[in-house]
Amino acid sequence: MSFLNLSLLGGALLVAVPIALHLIMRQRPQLVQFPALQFVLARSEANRRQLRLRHWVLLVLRCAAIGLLALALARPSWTAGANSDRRDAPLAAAFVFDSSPRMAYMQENLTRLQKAQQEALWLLRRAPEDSKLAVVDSGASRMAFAVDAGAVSKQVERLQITPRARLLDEALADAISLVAGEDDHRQEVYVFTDLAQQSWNSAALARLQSILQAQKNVQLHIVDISAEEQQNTAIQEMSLNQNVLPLGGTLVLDATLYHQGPPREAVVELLMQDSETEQSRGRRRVTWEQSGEQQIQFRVDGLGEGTHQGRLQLNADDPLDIDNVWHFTVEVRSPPTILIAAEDEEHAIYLREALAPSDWVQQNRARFQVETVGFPQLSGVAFANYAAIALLDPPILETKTWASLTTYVTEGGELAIYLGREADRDSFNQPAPQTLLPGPLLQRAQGELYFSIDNYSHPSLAAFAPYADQVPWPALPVFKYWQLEQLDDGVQQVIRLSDGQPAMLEQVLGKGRVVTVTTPVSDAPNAIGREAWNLLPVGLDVPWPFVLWSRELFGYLAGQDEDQVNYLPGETVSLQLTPAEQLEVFRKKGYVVRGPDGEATRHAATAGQEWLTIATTDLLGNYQVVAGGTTGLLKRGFSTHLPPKSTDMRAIDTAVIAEELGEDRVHFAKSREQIERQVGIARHGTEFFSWLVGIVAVVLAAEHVAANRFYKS
Amino acid sequence: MPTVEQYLKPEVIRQISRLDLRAQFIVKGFMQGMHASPFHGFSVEFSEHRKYTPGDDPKDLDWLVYAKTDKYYVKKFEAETNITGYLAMDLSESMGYTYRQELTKFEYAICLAAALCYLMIHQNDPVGLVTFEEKIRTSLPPKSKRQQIGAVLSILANLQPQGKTDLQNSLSQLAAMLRHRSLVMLFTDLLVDQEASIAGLRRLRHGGHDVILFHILDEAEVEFPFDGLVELEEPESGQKLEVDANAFRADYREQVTAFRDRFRSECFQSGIDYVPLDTSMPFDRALTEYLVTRKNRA
Repeated sequence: MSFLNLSLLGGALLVAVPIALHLIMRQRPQLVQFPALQFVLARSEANRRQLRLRHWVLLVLRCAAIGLLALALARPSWTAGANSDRRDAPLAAAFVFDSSPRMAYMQENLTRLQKAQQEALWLLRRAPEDSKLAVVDSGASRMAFAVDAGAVSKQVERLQITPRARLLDEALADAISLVAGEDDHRQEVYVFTDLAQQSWNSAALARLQSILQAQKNVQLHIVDISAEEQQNTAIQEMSLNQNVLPLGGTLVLDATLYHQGPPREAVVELLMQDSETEQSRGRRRVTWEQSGEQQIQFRVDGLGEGTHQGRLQLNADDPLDIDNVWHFTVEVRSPPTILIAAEDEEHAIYLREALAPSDWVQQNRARFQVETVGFPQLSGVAFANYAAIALLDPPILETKTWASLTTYVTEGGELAIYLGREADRDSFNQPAPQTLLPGPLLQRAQGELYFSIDNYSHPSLAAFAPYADQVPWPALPVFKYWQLEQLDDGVQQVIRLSDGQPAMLEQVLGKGRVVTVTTPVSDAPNAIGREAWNLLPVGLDVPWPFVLWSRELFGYLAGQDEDQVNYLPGETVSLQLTPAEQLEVFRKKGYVVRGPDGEATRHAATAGQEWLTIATTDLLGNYQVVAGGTTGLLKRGFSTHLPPKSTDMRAIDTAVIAEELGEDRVHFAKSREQIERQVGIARHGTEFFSWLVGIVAVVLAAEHVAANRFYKS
Repeated sequence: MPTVEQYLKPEVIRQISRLDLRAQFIVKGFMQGMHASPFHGFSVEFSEHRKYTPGDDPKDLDWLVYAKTDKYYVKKFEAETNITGYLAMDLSESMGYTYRQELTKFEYAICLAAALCYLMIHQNDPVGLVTFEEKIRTSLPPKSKRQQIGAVLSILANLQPQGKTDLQNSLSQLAAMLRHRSLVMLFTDLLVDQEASIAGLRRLRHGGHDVILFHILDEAEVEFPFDGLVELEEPESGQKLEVDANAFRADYREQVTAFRDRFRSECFQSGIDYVPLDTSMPFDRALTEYLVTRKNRA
């Protein structure tokens, strides 16, 4: 409790006056002659007691009136928490704006950001002249107080919606830290937000709670600038089955559409750029009876080799149209060539068919091109021509072969070694093979084992993650495997067997990687005299786990899908050039990046530059990276799209925010009147003046009535 | 033209300073009102003539006698029966009280007594006067001559209420004084010991006399119109008491009603006519009561 005019509280001492008057100067009643007194005497005692009570009541009322009036004039207020002792201090305030795409929602001809700007400018005009003010928006990280109020106003007016907005809680945390540095100021942060759950999720609240607990003097004012009865239909997210498709592959686009509002119908169209024009590659009509999500899928075949760009367009007229389109890029390339070294074709059949099924090869749909070679011919192979090499149950190899393989890997090649019955411990424990192997071989172990995987984060296993509990690894038993002694430093165990021993290991070697599997995938199940070490390729009628594992493993090794072509705004794009593209860029002395707005910027390049790095990716849409014009060899591209679900406007209950951050630290307002009132409460606390004056009026009226009734005038 | 009501209102009567005129005023008003009263038709037979003297009402002239004698004679009326009346006036100090009315209880009683005297004399009823407080102070023997009005009014006009009352003793004295059956009209506020008062009244009645008890209270003594804190002082004893009048009013009125009801009941049982009056009430009530009694004796 604090008082605005503490000295006036001394007026409460005037309560002594009615007490003194009561004791010293009792009002004399009027003397009246009355012969019939005998009738009064009979009930006089009871009347006397009543008289005495009324005297006391009147005294209490008069004392209460004086005391309450003195208290009211002292202007008491309750200021719980921050700024209670800084009533007269100058103001340090930060205005935080959410400039994410959601703020483009239009209502009454104003976007939410424009609405926020209006309210902020109104609030700025009311800030005291000696205030220190800063503007912090989620689109940029300005962290300084402006020179004066005029500069702040200009900053507010220049705010724009940006797709690359950072998280609102990050901006808020910066703002809180900024004002908290002003020790001798009242510290206030105003955030203009639509209270969407994704901005005020549990992680954001936890972060803000932590920072507010550390900065106890900061008051947070949340100004709700959300629209009334929001409606929106959006492409919430979209994914491609692959960013880099093999030639002949099918592009599959899965999209999640979300609608908030009354029932409606909309049309979704897939458009892809074909030379100079856009071609429709599919349409869907989607109907919502109520708010909710719907899934749609488009499949596109027959894409030629090269970079393809397009967009998914939602034809739905609503107040927020930034989320009605989703741009994408996909590259179609010839499938990488995998070299399988095996005893013979028969031993390579499982892996070969898993990577390049014969049917698909004939249809040019295979994800990989596979070549096989026998081990005796291995030393004559030019390893550099292959994206990855698989050694299926290698026998003793020449040292120079191991050395060649080591060179291949260290210069960027990818090698997979499947150890089996042909491995010789003494030979494989020699330095040359040990360079590639993850550790010395110990012994052949056996048992009724299977792959036991509890972490599907490795790229070769990520595809299993949605079905983690359903993969029937026990139906693909492992009977024998190679146990290793201690593992080398830097070796990662990717898959274990059910006895805890490693089944698949990975290590980085130079620019490349080596994956070692301790059990082979080349045993025929019914080979006479050669008991199979496992049934990985044949344990099920449809050995889909083995096929999927093999494809994902070699897709990972071959670098498929490592090339990212779809980004979020603001991310730095990296494009790896092929040798031919590198030469083209060098010849043209650079390359051109054309943005979604049609603006083109030229960038220089150096000889042998393998990677292009592009940082100016703020706009949403399709970008083209070219060199040499329409006939040039460099015709690449990438796309930027909104973060998934970034325009979900479902709002959080303010009670949740208040509970997490503390009701005495956060204040909510939607209208200007509420802003003024909340700011007043935060700065001056809850004043009781009006209540006390009301009570004084009631007490005075009661005293007047009682006195009039009691004393004859 | 004054109305009947104006004749009978105490505040109007107050404006007449001469008691004889007051009495006439009251009686005239009362008599005029008789036309609509249940006593209409009350008549008094004239028993003899007397010579006309200036001042007599020409309406009373007996024109038949004039026709026969060429002389002016007025009819001399007399009631169907003669009753001897005594006006008994309480002179206690409490009778001199008024709060906000025009007349004190005593003045009200005097006006009433004078009017009754006037009425009775004109009906040839002898009227006497007795005044008392602790004992009988003044006693005027009853006479029916016209001069008796003057004598009664003269005494009444000079009376001043003072001292305390001993109603029982006074009434006992009066009862001993009366030789013949009489009509005693008692004017008092009865603010004395109730048991003693009742005993006195019974004593009077036991003597065979008709009694009309005019119980006169001040309007304030009936209504208790005070507000807020007041200090009440009893004028006879000087006793004072501070009360919250607003809180007390209901109880007080209850007390007074019970007080009156008791005397009403006792009087009824004793065959005494009880007339509760307060100084705000017109006089016709009292006068009507006299006539009722007069008629019942007929």
